[in-house]
This record gives sequence, C-alpha cells and structure tokens, in this order.
Amino acid sequence: MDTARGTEPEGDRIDDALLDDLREIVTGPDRERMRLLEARIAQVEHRTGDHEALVAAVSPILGDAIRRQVREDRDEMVESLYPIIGQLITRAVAEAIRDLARNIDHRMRTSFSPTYFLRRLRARARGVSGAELALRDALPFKVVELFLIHRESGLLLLHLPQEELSAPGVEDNSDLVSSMLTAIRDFAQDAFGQDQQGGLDEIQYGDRRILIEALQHAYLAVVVDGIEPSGFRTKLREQGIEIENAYREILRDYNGDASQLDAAQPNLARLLDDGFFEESEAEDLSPDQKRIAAGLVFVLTLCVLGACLGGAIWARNALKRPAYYIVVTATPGPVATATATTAPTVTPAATATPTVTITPSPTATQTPTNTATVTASPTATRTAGPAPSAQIAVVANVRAGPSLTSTIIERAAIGNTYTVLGRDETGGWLQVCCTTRGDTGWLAAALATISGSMESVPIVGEE
Amino acid sequence: MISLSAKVCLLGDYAVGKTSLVRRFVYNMFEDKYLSTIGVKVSRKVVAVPRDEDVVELTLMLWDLAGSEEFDRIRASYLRGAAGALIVCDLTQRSTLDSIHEYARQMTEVNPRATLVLAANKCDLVEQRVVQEGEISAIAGELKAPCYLTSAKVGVAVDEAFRHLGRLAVGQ
Repeated sequence: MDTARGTEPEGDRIDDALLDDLREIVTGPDRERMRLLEARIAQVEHRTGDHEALVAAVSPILGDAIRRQVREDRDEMVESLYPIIGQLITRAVAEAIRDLARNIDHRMRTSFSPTYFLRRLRARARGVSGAELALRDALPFKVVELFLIHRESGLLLLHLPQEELSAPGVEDNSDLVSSMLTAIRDFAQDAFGQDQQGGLDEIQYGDRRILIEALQHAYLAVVVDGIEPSGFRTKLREQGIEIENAYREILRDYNGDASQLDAAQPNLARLLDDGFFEESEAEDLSPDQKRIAAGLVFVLTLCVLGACLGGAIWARNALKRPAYYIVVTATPGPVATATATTAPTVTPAATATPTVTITPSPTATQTPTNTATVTASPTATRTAGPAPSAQIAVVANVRAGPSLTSTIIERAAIGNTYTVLGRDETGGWLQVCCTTRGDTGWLAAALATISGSMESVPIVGEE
Repeated sequence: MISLSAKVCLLGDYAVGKTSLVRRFVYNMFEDKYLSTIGVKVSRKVVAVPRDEDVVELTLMLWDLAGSEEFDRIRASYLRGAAGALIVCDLTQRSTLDSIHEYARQMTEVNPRATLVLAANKCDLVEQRVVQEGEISAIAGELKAPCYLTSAKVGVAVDEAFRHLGRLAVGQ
C-alpha cells in the first residue's frame, strides 16, 4: 500500500510534466504571439499617453497622406476642407473689410474740413475719384523701425524703433542687424551690381519691407508695413541729406562714437510720425501740376507787378512827386576779380564794373535840395583760384534749382565730375557745370565728393 | 564711460579656426547658414578697454569672413571701414602661414590705418604642431603686429588676442 501510495504522486508528477509539454507544443506559438502582442499594445499605449511622441509619430504620415491626396484628388480635398478653411477665410476677409469701412467712415465723418477740400482738389488733379483717394488713404502704412547706418563699416549710428524694446529679456540686436544688412548690401553689390550704378534699395520679407536710401557716408534703412504714400522716398532722402550735411565731417572720419549723432534723432523721429507723410503727400505735386502752379504764380506775379506799376504811374501823375531815376553805368574792370561793396551801391566786376547811382530829382512841389551820390567803395577783393570740382558719389539728380522740388534736368552717374560754380547759403547745394547739354544745374553737396577749396566759391541764388 | 563701436575682421585660410575663436569669445547670435550664404557672419562683443587713463566701453563688431577662394572677390567690400583685423593661422598646417601677408596687404590696402593682431591657433595640439613659435614671431615682426598662440578649443589666449585688438582699435 505504502508503495502504491508512494508511486501515485510520482505518476501524477509525470502526468503534469507531460501535460505541460503537451500544452507547450499545442499553445506555445500562440502564447508567444500573445506576449508579442501585449508588448506592442503596451508600446502603443505608451505612445498615445505621451502626446509629443504621438505627434512626432503621426505628423510625417499625416503630412504625406495630405500631400498625396492633394496631388491625386485636389477637388475632393478642397471640398473636404472648404467648410473649415472657407469659413476662416470668409471671417478674415470680412474683418479686414469691416476695418477698411470703419477707416473710410471715420475719414468721411471728418471730411468737412480744409483738408477734405484739398483732398478733393488733389483727387481731381490726379484724375481719380474722391472715393478712390479715400480708399488709398485708408490703406495701412506704418514705419516700424529706422536705422541710420555708417556706409563703410556697417556700424549703427542711430536706431529708432516704433515701440521701445522695454520688455525684460529682450536684447537689442540692432547693431548686429545693421552690420548684417551692410554685409547683404555689399554682397548684392559685388555679386550683381558689377559695372552697374545704384545698389540694393529694397528687401522684402512677408508683409514687411526694408527700404534703403543711400547717402554719401551713411544710409537709411526703414522697416515698413504696408504701402508707403507717394513722396515717402523723397522725404526720406531729404531727411538723410539734412543729416549728411549737418554731420558730414563726423561721418567721413567716423570714430565709432555714435553719441555724436544724438542730435539728429529728432529729425529721424519725424519719419516715424504718421501725420508727417500726410503733410508731405499734400506737398507732393506731379511735374504737370508743378508747371500749372508755376504758371499761375507767374501770371499772379505779373498781375501784381502790373498793378504796382500802374499804381505808381498814377500816383506820380496825380501827386506830381519827384521821381527817382536809377542810372546804371559800366566801366571796364579787372578780369576774374570780385568786388563787394556796402549797400546801396554794389559793384561786382567780372569783366565790367557797373555803378548804381541813385539821384532824387527835385520838383516844384517838393523841397528836397540835396543830391545824394553814392560811389563804389570796395571792402574786399578776392582773387579766384581754380574752381573746385564735384565728383558724383551716388546716383544723383542735377536740378534746375537748389531744392528737392526743383525740376530734374539730368541724372548724374557715379563718377561724373562737374565744375562747381557756386553754392547756396547753406552750402547744402552746389551750382555745377556742365550737364550733357552744356547747362548749369544744382546738385546736393552730400551726394558728391568735392575736390579743391570751396572758399572761393561764391554764394549764388537760383537762376 | 565713453561708448565706442569698432568693426574688426577675422581673416585666415579655411579651417584655421576663425569661427571657433569667435564662438569662444562671444555668445553666438546667428546661425552658421549666414556664413555659407553670403560669406560673412557678424557677432558682437562688448569689452572694456583702457584709454588715456579712462575706460572705454568698446563694442566689437566681429566680421567672420569665410576663408574660401570663392569669396575672394567679395572680401574687399567686407573689409571696408574696419578698424582692425585678427589674422588667424593654424599651427598644425604650415600652408596657412603662406597667406598671412596677403591678408595683411588686403586689409591695409582698404584701410591704411587698420591695426593687425596675429593669432596662431590650435596650440593645444602639441603632437601635431608643425610650426614653431619663432616662425610666428618672425612673421608678426614683419607685420609689426602682436601675436598670440591661441586655442579656441581649450580657451588659451583668445580673450587676450581680441582685447589687444580692441585696445589698438581704440588707440587709433
């Protein structure tokens, strides 16, 4: 019995082992498959739990699927996406139009003003309707940032952001931007501008543009949003030339001390003022308009002169007062000398010395008995040396007068050399000779390199 | 304190370690793609340098120019307006010494008053060094420029070289 009891469990153990073997043979592959499946499910669960990992895993597949679908069945994609994207676009366009309408409404409400009538006149003169002009005026334009940069070194001279970089942690990288911008300009000039005049004058990225206005020793880079009003470039150039004239010496031998140009900040800050360009736009006239305006001024001047002359004759006849005669005589003088005299007698003598003598003539009704004769009394005599020359440093306009509003008579190329005949009172404009047609013209001094002494150059008025 | 800015250029053959020297000296602001696109990368470092018993806050605008033949035509315009240059050579490559005089000539031709400092880089690779200190000193003597044995990798004499250049630029 003992033996029998003792062998029974042994037999059971053998049976269990056989059963295990059998189970392994029958279900082994399935269990292994189950284990692998469990591992994969755990992996998927882990991925779906980790949002970033899920996005990283799905993104490429999603992108590929959309691209393939767009390629293979564009219409279906458009139809599928229209309810979402169409609605978004509609909303965005509607919002933009509402803004525009609000802007125009505002302008129309404030339209009964002198500015309104000026605008109407401008619109008529330009051949557009008042509504079109109002629409143009309503288009957004903003100067975002302004850089004044030294042309050779790329060092930042002045930087005016529209909004101060006051946020903590925001680093001012304007000096790096100015250097990189200079490198890009130089690169563009070297790569594409060989044997060509001018340079890079605009860079566009997205909705923003960098407008570049080159001066002789510096350049202005203005970051703008939207479409600039007409006359913007002229105003920009005008401000630049003012700065160039005022700081010519500093800019020519720039020593890296930007504080020397701090005083120029208000000038440039005006360019950030939105109202500044509205004024400038009103001043900006087309050449035809300028001719009409000049004609009107001429006619008005003639009328006034005629009226004055008529009045004077009438007064002389009526009152029989003594008339003043002006006698102008000319005598030969030394060649190439200039003689300045005190008023009222002026005796400039290039090849002749005119003398102006004012002689009052007494009549019966008046009692002036003195005859005053003022003769020439030279106070300074200068001997003219060789005339200085102006070599064009950047592409420049030669104008009929010493002003940016004067008619352009010639576009001067870089390297062109002119003889300097005179200058205006400020020294900012030079009267030069000769244009290709042999005429004299006016050139902004900041745009040329002067050789020779300017001391002997006389101050002359517009011809 | 007076604040001044100065443009300085890094000149030297390809792979002598110009960019590494700048990286060691300043915090890198721009991606390297600028370098390969237009042949220059600009970085900035503000240093205090003595001048006339005073201290000047000098902003060095470091123009790291690509050391490759394809940029030779462009380099001249990048040199304009520079107050000085750090000319870099490699102590493990003798050929990088050959062009030092040419870089110096180009620099002084565009900017006659520019100051130069010579940096012989990779001084940490003692086993691979093929150029002796005496040779560098001789070249520096010919250029009348101070010289430094530098290592951008371990940071030897990098600061000193740039600061010396800054002092010279301010003293112009």
